[in-house]
Amino acid sequence: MLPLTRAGTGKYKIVSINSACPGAKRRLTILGVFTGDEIEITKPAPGPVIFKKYGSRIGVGQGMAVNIMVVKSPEKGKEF
Amino acid sequence: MEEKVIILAGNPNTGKTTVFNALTGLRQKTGNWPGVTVEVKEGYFTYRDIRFRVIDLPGTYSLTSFSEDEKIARDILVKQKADAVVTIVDSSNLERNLYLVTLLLELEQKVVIDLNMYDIAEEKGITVDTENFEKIIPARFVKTVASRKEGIDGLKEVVYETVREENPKTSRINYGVELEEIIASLENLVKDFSSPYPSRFFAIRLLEKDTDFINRVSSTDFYGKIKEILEAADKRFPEIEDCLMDRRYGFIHGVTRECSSRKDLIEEKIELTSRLDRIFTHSFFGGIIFLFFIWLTFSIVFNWGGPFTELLGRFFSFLAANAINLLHFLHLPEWSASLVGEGIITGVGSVLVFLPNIFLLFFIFAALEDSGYMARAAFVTDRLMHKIGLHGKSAIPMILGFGCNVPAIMATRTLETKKDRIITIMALPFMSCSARLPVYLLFTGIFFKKYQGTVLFSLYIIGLLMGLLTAKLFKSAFFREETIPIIMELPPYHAPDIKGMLISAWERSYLFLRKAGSMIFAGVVLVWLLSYFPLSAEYASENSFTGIIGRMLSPLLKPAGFGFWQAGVALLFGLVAKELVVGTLGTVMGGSEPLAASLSQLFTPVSAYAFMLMTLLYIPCLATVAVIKQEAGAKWAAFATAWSLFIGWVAAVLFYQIFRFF
Repeated sequence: MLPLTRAGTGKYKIVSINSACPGAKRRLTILGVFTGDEIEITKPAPGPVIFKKYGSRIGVGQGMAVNIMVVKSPEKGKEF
Repeated sequence: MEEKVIILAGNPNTGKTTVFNALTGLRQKTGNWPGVTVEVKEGYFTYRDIRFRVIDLPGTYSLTSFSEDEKIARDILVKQKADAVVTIVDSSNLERNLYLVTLLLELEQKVVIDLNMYDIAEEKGITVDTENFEKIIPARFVKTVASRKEGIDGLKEVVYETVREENPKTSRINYGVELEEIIASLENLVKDFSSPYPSRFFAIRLLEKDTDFINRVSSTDFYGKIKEILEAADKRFPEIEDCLMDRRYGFIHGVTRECSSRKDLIEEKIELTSRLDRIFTHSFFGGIIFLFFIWLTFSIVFNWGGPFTELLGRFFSFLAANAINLLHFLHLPEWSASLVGEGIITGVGSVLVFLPNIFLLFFIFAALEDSGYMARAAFVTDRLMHKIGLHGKSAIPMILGFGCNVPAIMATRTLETKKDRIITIMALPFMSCSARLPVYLLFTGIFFKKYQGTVLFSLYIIGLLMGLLTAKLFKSAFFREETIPIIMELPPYHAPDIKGMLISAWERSYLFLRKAGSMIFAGVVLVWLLSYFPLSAEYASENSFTGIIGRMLSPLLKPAGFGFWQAGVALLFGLVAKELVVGTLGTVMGGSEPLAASLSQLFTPVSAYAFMLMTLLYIPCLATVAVIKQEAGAKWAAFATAWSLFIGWVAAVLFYQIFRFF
């Protein structure tokens, strides 16, 4: 398990979203990002982290990215 | 012909504007909604025997009071009593897009769901069974590819059928027994309370602790009961907002699983967008590219706009001279020639000459927005902006401010919260706009020949620092709460649509003309009146009212080193548009000696710099004040005026008092 800021490109699963700031967590929910989601990081840190979920791209600033914990998905690559 | 109202709603980046353009063509305008400061567009189309009025809401993800856009969207939805709401949906991302639909159904709207960009979804191996969907969700489904105008007629047909439908189906999301019980008890309380919202919608918003709705009932006699219910609910469900959201998403998950399938046809190659993102949001190169784009924008705005500005300038002096001649020829009184020639045409013209620049600025702005770059720029600048308590998105308006404060203030509409907007608006007038440049050029040319560039640069930097300082101060004085870390959806890059860019640039320029124009006109007439009277004095001379005001101001300006009436008058005229400071100095210094010679008798290098500081910082021009009033309200406009006057005066005085001994 590692924070989003330390993950490289590739597929990951979101394990937890720490709501350091409740507004930020709700904003992720509105954008359709939840704990348990499979995501694909297309642009890793440093700087903002950008990942894809269902083809839409979500950018997260470093301040929030440290609060999102992910694990690397096995290289099946066939599912989201 | 019968007229029906339809509203377009939908998430950002779903091609909503493209659908709107495809439906209405060029028959559209930016709606004038009282108190609404985000762009709400309106258009018309006719289908069969019905004329449809189309209202295009700002793109939103939900309908909470969290952001300005969403609040406005919600208000328009309930106030308009639309005959149908068309929700534009990105077919590749059904689940998130349907979230808004669940809220619209709660609002008891007749909904048409436009599955847009269906071609891309098909390429991705996504198929949607619309018939099945319509069995579960009480809405009509249409597939479109608006960018190629595919399915638009089908959409019109379905909209036509929907608005004529007598007894629409309804359904509701079941939030589970316990939550439903709580909702029912709240609904019972607000049932008889008059509000434009359906009682169930109202009850659920209360449960979400939406401040807008809580405030509405806070003075009623049943508020105590509501509080009781909410407290009990809080104990049972600690994070009730998240719970409600989860239930909605749960419902959507279920439906989409049943009615659509998603199989990955090809392992996606690394797309262009991902590659570009790695460059544009790179922690080092991202900033450099950003600066390059800004530099490019300004060189285009000034290099391309410059010749037009000059032409317009010549046109207005030609017009003024001829108008004066004509009025003389017609033997109309002298004052009318002066009012029209020296007052209205020269004054209004001095602002209108910037129209080519402003149009170009908006045009490029639209290109950056439409291509998808703007969203990335927000991330690039977020780190710096966050430190002074602003959002990454504030950077673009601040930079636009160096061109002209008026469009820059209008550009703050892209900011999501009112708080961010107001702080940015308060900081903006300190960005040294292009109208201030002629003043610097005049004075540095006379007093700082050797260091012209350095002195110019120092003024721009001081303006920027004052803006940032203002933001920081206002943030800590009025808006304590934490800025939410930046989280944004990033649209894929694509080539901007020229027609859309032209429409957007024209609309915003028109808004500038209309709003700024009326204020400038009034200001120009006032200044003219003050300069023309009393009749015994020459126009704008020491004995005219402006001259008298100039003399009254001079004791105030004395500590700053320019305590003579001409400076006061120049600054007074500068209120209309700051470059008028130069022209006014020319008029009031009298024509016998060249301006440079007479200025160097009155000013020393130190007082000249102090005067430039004053010009940079004191009250933004009338057009800017007018736009601040429009965007943030009269209170903030008054505050900005007082604050900048204070800062300008203090800076000029401090500078003069410290450096006059060197």
